[in-house]
Amino acid sequence: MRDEESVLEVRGLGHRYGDATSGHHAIGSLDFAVRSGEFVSIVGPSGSGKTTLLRIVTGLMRPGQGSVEVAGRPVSGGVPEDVAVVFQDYSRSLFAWMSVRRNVAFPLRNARCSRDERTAESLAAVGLTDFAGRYPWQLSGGMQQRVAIARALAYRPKLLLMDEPFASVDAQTRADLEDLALQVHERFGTTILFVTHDIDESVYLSDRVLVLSSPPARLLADVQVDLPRPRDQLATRQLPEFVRLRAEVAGLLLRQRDPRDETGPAVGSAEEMPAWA
Amino acid sequence: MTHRVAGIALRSLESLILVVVLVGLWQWYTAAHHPLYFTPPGDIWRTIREHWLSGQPSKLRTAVEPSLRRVLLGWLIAAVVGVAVGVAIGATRWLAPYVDPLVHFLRSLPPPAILPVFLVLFGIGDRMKIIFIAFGIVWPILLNTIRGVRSVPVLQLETGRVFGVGPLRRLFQIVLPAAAPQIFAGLRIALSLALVLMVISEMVAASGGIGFEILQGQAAFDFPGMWAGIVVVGVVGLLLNGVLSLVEGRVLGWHRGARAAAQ
Amino acid sequence: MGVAASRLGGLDGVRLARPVVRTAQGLVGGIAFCALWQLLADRHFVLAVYFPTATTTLRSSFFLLGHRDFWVAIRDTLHAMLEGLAISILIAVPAGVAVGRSDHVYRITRTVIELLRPISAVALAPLAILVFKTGIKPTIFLVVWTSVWPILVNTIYGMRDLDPVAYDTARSFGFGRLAILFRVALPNAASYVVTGVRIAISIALAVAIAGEIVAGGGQGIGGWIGKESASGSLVPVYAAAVIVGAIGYLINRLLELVEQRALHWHESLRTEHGR
Repeated sequence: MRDEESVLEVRGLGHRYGDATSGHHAIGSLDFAVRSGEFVSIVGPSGSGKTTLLRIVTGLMRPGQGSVEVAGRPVSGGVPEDVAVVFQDYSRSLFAWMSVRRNVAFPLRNARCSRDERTAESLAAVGLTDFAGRYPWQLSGGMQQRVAIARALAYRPKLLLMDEPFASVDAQTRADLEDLALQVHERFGTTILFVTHDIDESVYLSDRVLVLSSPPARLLADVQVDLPRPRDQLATRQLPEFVRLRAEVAGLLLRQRDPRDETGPAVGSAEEMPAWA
Repeated sequence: MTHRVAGIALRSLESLILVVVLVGLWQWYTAAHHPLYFTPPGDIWRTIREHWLSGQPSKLRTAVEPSLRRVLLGWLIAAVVGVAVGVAIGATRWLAPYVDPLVHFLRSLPPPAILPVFLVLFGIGDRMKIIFIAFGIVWPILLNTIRGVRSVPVLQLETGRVFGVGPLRRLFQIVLPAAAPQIFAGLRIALSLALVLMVISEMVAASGGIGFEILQGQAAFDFPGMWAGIVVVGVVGLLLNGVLSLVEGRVLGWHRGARAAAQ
Repeated sequence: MGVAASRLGGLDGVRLARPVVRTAQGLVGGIAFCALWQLLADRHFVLAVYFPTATTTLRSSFFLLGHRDFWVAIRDTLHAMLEGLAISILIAVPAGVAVGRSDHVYRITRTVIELLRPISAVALAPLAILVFKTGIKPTIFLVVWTSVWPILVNTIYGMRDLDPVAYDTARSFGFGRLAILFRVALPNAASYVVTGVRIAISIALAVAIAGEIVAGGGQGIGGWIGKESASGSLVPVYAAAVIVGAIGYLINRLLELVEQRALHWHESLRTEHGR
């Protein structure tokens, strides 16, 4: 289609851990693309291979089958240059022995002056200018995750991956961080692939929501989200379109819960919202 | 403000009071009863002042200096070798089951038991003592480095890789800082052990040093001299530990803060 | 049913195979080390009696196992080490409890402990000879001097590290001071005591041998090594070192197991206090 515009291209991707009989078949077959400047979310039941997918895209793992291209270059073995990641576990992915400023500057290889400039700019973008000299462990969880976002921003990635980034913060902080992600997307035009298990969050943030099946993962639906931007925590969530989209995605995920699947939670009625939505 | 100063003064007074009382008791008892082998603290101090701190030549130059040189050189060699080899072993995960038992065995080897080997192979000079100290104390450093490197969280290494950070910077900016608390624990154990090995090597291969002076004092019935040597060994140990603690406090300030924050 | 059975079987298989594989891998490492040693020694950089090959050493170790003198020496060394440790525990644990219980006592004694701790045992050896004459006693004294500090410091730390919530909980249930000491504080400190004892034992063997060399009057492994090395050949020294190393290895491994058992409820990593 519009190949030259897509930042991420996933074709025929499949992966299996262990051998064919006793192993875990994490990803069946996945095909999708993320265009430049898009905000795309991936939702799926837990254990649906979201993490596997991210590890393959970041080059930390080789896929069993298929291929991944970032910015037109295949990800094969090595780590692609244009990708930055915000992990869920901020306390570990930030370095306790570096100040906030040094954490943000850590991946930058440019000359000193432009590095300082970029670090300052990224810290300002997440509202942490005054905390540059502190250490991560002196900050709250939400602020630590802001540092991780600033670090990813300073790297100026073509593709920003966010792996359930807000799953371990409280509800209020989470709303703030969601809006921060939207601002960053708006201001820097960053292409974002956002992995979450929260249906509301995926609809609220994205241009498109990719719904994965339970493993072996395949694409159940590619839901277009045409909610107006800028989005607002209260107004957007009250729009009939938001409610409809949320129900659509939830319905897709609920139908995944097969009674034969003993490990999943009990099946509720189709109207009932799942607890994790 | 004055309250706080008073509080600090009171507390330091409190921490010194027992020392003063014990030294006083010792002085009183030895002065009154003249036990053969126990010298009054006053005499020990006079010996230290007259023979160690001054005199021609002073024992600061003839005994303390060589002893310090042996301990520090042995410790430095052990630190460099232990950390370098420890990082190599710790980072190569498949190597662990092959190397671990061997390292544990070598650590269990009591260094004094092989002192004769070092005496014969390297003579009785400084070289022997430095190599003996380094060999004897490298194991706690090595083991702690291996453990520290192995316990670096995978996510930290992957964060480095994802952001395109090369192996050398990952080593110096992620692996070594993350393993530093454990490495320092090893360095501290090694320092105490180094002092033990310094003294024993100086006693066995008599050629000067604090250990030699202690043994000399005993053999020549110069008990104030013997006690002075013992006190000097303690002071040297105290100073070296203090310096290491200072360095550790600077390098690992983040670690203490992070631990306190996690609790 | 069938699935469960095969799963169990698989698990058993893994449990049986893992230590066997691990041991084999450890042996491979040991053999590689010996091969390297053999190659180096065979080049004759130094006289063979000063740097024997691995095979010579191991053969001689094997012969040593049949020597009565050698076993007597080992028995004496272990005796000095264990008696010294027992005395250290009897001194250090009650002292540590007494010091750690009260902030006041802790502040008063802290400086004395910090001043005495760095005096290395071997420096006291000449004094130990004067006071305890010859025989095993000077060595025991040196082991006690070395072992007391890590046990004492760890016990103090364990007593002071009591979680205030645990203390308050016990208070709210109406426990008295003695009850809190025996039912809350001591069990809490127990794992620290075990760590202190493990650190003490890991150095006690070396100090016992050091003591025998400088103050032992020819007793124990230290004395035995001194006598043998005076004969001109170092082969028996190497051979004895291998056996002593093996004993130390077994002691350390056993202690790690005991410590893991004692600490199983205390998952978090703790830094070691004391040497």
